[in-house]
Amino acid sequence: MNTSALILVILTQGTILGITAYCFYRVLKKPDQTS
Amino acid sequence: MTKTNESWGSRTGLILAMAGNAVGLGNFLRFPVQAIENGGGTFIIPYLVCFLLMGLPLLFIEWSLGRFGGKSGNHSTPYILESMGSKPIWKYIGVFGIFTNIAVVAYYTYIESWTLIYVVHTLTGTFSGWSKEEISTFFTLYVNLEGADFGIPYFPLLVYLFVLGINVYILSTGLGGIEKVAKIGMPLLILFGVILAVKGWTMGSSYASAEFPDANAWDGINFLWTPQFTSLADPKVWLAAAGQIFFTLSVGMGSIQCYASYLKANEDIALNSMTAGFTNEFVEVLLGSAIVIPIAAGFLGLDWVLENAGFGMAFQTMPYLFQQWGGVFSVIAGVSWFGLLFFAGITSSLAMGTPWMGFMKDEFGWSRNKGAFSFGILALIMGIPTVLFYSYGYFDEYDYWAGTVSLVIFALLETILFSWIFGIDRGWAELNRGADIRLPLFFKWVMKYVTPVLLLLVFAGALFTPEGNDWVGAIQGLTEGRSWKLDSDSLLAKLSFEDIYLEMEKEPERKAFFDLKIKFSGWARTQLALLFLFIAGVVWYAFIHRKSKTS
Repeated sequence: MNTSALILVILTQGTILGITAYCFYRVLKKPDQTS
Repeated sequence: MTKTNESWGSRTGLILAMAGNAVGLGNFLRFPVQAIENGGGTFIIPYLVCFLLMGLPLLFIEWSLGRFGGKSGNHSTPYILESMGSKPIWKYIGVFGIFTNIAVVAYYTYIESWTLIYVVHTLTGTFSGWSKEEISTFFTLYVNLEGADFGIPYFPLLVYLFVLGINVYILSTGLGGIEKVAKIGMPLLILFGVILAVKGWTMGSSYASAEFPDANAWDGINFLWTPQFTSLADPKVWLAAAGQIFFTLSVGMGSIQCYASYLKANEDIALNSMTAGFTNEFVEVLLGSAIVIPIAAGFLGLDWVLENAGFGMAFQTMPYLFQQWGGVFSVIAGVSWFGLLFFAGITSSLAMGTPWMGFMKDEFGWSRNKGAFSFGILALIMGIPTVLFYSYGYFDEYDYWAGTVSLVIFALLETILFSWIFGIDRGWAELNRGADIRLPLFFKWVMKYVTPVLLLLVFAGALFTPEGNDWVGAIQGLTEGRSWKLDSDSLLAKLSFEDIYLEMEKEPERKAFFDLKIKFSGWARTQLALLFLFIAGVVWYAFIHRKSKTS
């Protein structure tokens, strides 16, 4: 894999994976949120 | 108006149902093809920019609209929009939010039925030992109702009825049933996607053949991810990226608003909508990019992929490629691929049933069974011609006018309603009420100014697509005094069937076929218009019904 493609993969896929995981972490911390 | 006490069973269930609504066939089929056609790695940059400036804001708007409408007992867009816009016209604009779902589900369940029957064919070993051409022909015969699978004539029609029946049955079980399907379907979809993506990332050049000695999956991956910054100046790439973001998130349909209307008044929508949106991106960017293109490049080479990338690859090429792995894994790969497409499809088509059911329950007190059954009947009336006259473009007409144009128009109007008529200050407060995360103020500004402009550009881009989709050349031509030539695929040209006439010019010997295609396309448009008028009539009757109850 060439370097520029590798950088783009890490940046985009890493960001999306990280944010998705963080969102689920926050959701699961408060699984039955109703007020 | 009838009160409903239905609500989501759990927060995770709601998010998975929303994500399932967004994750569809386009994540695995449309995204990689768009990326290939728009410069590979370059495409991802405008794609992500559009996700931030149009995708997420639209999700925020639709979730807010839904929860706001739900507070006053409205569960579909006609009265959700009217409650925000305070003018009667908004309930007729809201007709789009029911119309689109019925028109799209009519042909979408047909594709769903293909995926299901391909799972069966994979398990029974139908494709075993078949050539690429044989598998491709099998698909063509299937969709044109010319084959006789398992010796049964009109088999595709029966499978279509069966799949529509499954949808109706699950819908009749209410939100609980939809949630259950999402909780089973989404994890399985991700599991199947991961199995295939791992294979896509690891197959390298080990499956190069005598016919395709240079085949290498890494070529596909490199093409998809190597940025070519010069393409960033091309409006075509930006319009394609905006279009992809728009269609992948299922915005402009009316189904997100309907799902969100079953939330309680102070339940979070900021974090929930972000989670559902990013889950869709995870499936599209991480899994969608790692399956079709790398696997096809690994067997057939990048040149073949660049020449043949398209929707047909899913059914005409992939079953052949899976056979090349041989043994048990070829069956696992086939079941994973068509299984994930089936789950992607059904979680979306179920969402399409809820706006009609919600409306009929709110206005006329219809039970879930009655709502689901009537939805099935409407879908069937709309869908049967798409199955019978598939080869004459009935299907394509629905996909273009209901599945593409309507969505953009509706999204544009609801964005104007939310940001300018309801007012962005009230809208922002609505979005942030009960929020579990603090959204950057930047989005408030984006929702007011940037998102509507981007939607206008997407719509104008479809309306005035220049010849050959060459925006740079067309704009340059205008500055030099040349006229703007429309592409035959532009909305304006399609109105007068120019795309079909162009095909006819290329193949004059098939004139009789194209004449029929024009006739059937016209019928398809008439049927869509009649559906819209029918729903508008039902909304009008509901209005009279409401008035008579209050007076």
